[in-house]
Amino acid sequence: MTITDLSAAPVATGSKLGVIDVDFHPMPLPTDPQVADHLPQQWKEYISRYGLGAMGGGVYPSQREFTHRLDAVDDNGRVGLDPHLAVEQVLAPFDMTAAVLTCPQTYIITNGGANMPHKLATSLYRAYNNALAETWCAADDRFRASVTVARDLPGGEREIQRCKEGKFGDKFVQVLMSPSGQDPLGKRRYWPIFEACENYDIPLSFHVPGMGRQPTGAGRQNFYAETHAAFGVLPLALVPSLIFEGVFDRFPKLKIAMLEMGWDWVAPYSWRLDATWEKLRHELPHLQRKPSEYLKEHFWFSTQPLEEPERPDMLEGVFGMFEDSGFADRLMFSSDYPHWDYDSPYESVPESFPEDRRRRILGENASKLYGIPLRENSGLPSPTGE
Amino acid sequence: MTTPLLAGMKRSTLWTGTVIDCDVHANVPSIETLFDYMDPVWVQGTQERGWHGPTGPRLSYPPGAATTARDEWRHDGLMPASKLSMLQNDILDPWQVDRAVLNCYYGIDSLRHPDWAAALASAVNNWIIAEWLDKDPRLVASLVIPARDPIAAAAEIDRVGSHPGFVQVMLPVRSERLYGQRIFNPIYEAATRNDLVIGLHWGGTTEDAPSPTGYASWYAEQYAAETQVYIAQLTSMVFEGTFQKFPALRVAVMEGGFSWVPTWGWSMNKKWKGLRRETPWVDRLPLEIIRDHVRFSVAPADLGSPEHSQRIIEWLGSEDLLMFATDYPHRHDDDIDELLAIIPATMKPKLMSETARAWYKL
Amino acid sequence: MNEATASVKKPQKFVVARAEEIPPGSRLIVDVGGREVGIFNIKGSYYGMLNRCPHVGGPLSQGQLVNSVTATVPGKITLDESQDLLTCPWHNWEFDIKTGQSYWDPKHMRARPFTVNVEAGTDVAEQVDGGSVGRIKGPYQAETIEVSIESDYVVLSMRPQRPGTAAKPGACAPPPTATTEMKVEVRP
Repeated sequence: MTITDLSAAPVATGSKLGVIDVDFHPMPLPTDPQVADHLPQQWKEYISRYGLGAMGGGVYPSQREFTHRLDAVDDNGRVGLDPHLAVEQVLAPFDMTAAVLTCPQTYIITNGGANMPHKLATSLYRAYNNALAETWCAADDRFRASVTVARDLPGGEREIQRCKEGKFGDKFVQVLMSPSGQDPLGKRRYWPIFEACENYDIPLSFHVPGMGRQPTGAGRQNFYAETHAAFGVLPLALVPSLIFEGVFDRFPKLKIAMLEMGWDWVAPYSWRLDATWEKLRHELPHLQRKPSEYLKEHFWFSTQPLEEPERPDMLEGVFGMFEDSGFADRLMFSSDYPHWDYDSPYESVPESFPEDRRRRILGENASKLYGIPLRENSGLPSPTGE
Repeated sequence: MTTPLLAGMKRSTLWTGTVIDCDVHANVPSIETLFDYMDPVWVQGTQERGWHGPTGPRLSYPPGAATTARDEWRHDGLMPASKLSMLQNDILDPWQVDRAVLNCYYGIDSLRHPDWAAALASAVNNWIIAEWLDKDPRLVASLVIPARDPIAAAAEIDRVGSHPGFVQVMLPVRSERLYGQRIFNPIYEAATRNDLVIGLHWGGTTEDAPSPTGYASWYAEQYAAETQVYIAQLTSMVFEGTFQKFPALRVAVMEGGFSWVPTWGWSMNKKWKGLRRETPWVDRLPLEIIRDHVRFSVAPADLGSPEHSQRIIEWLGSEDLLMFATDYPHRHDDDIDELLAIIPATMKPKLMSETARAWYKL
Repeated sequence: MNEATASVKKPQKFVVARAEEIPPGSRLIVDVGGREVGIFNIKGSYYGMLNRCPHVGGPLSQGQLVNSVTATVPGKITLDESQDLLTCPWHNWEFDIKTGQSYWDPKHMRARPFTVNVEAGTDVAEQVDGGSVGRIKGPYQAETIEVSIESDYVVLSMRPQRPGTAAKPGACAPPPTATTEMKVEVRP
């Protein structure tokens, strides 16, 4: 019943450390042809006339228009539009096996699909999913895509089915949802999505920011830096619901990928979850195990943004605590390209690390989770390799 | 006779030095208890409407939950911690407590009428003075405020803040707006004017969803996730520049734990390095600001293995950040002995009394 | 010309461009023996900065030029237009264009600035002939810059700007190709 015996994807051994980037962003707008071409004419006209709901954006302008690294701007002054530039800037230099495309833009620009006509929202989600497959995956066979679903609109499971059973079905390797929403994740309204993820054996992922509800339990923030510094609050609300509602007893094969939500909070938070359960287990007779055991078995995390302890010598202790707590095979390299806080595989997983840790984080863990075999002789040079 | 405390731990074997307990509770047993201390307008208002008092306490501390009171501290069917004698017999005497900071969480902000909420806060403060502070010199206390109305809150702080027994203003952690926002400045002005600590405490508004993902099903779920509200509030205060505007402001975090502080602090530091132009008043690393202005109670401590917990203590980067608390009558893990075992010898007296003494100027 | 003779084999000053080719508000990134340096003209003054951020090796010279923004308390924000800062195009760290000093960590973190001067063609030609000033490939035209005595030239000095102010190396290895394959162009 456990999912730790994942049927391991074939892993190329040899002189290279294979690299898979699990957080890589296309950033098209609904008016860009790669998205617009998949939108019904009715909704293209609607958007040009009425815009996108009440979600104007820019209530706390970020430091750059697309929160991008400046050198990711293409010849047209845009970011995240050209798959070939992305390959040239990231996949090629690091000789990656694959990059998993995530497009939280889908729920950012639609505010989770909440404040617009239902059919416009679902059309937009479909169009974005199509863009990832038909523009990006078609441009380079190293790209994989996420099926982004509107968390709080019905029918997410049908969109998963449409993508998985379509022409690009094999390219869709996970489902992506907003980490915030109308209800905590363990509630029954989300169960059809968990069922679909189990059915297709793909992880369910979450990526900042959270849309569809205020971003804290105490109102809205005023600054971009503040929201960014508090991204860690999102998983603290998401994890207990999934665990305490008993989701993993009902969906024992469900795998959760937490993207750009940090990972150094995980071990200390697992102590709090266990302490909570110890004290309040009278309320939770349906739980079969300690919360930390569900956390270890069902959750994966991504590296970016690189954790930066106050002193560099603390970094080993941070990794050590995570690994000793049972998460050594649960951390995956992510670049967050083309965003400003992008990390290369050399920053996230420095060469000073033990080779086996580098091998796991750079590619192996993601290879196993997503079932993407590492390419033969591709990746970063291994210090001990031939 | 020595009363066992915290699951059988004895004061004599645990710690022989001075103890200051920075978080013990007084619970208002019923709204009627406050009538002698309340403006008659609102005594009649309460009776006429058949109102039984704010819902906040029951929602933030469900009466039957194990976390709300230890079994041994539930006396004869009475509301736990509702009489001074209970606190004296359960904590102050057996622990030989030098001083204790009394907190009364009565859910003032779960009453929306602005005048009534202000009157309720005044009544609670009057009751704390008469029934607790005036009767046991070991006690100091937090005053309560109608936090939703910062001007009225400041007036209440000025009304009773000069009483020598009040050392803190309780600010419940859940609010409709984040506490760093400038609308709350009158509260910080009044607190610093009266040399009071701001006590960020469990509880607060109960109407809106307690997290970015809506209403929790289980109390345990909400309990575990409450950390994110503490993080959001402190992040707000740091980036809004509350501590630049009020350099003398001292904050104490109660019932929020501390094991999350280092990694959250690093995250703030990292963002600030690249994004500081947005909030240029934040003139140094956020975690340094936290170390200068915030202290944390250790109930709960939410410890992991000794080795890992020790690492968290080290990463706090200061021996001065933690303050001992029993959080009477609430139940947390019985881990104060574990905590004492992993901290440096020089930190033990700070944890058990000195930090709180300095923070509250006792 | 003793000094010139002494450094004949390894010039430490280089002719970068004719002065009018880097007008105010523009920049040029040049390759000096494998080291890339951004040359900036800010309101008529020239500055040089190694194209490598001391944080994690980002292409610093491609960053935004901004002014210092400070506030003593919330609500009172001041822009100091006399303080020019270069921000890294990746993580947005600010560096003083003159000293390379990091805004957030002035004591320990510095980018690597270089002195840039405008010199008359007559002087430059003489030094080039003497070997104390080198010529490098023009960045936007694949030819070596010719020096004529009629023009003024932007001359980059690769000597450490001040003793002991050399930039610390980045904390981690840079991406292998990000800096070497960068586009170089004059930016308006």
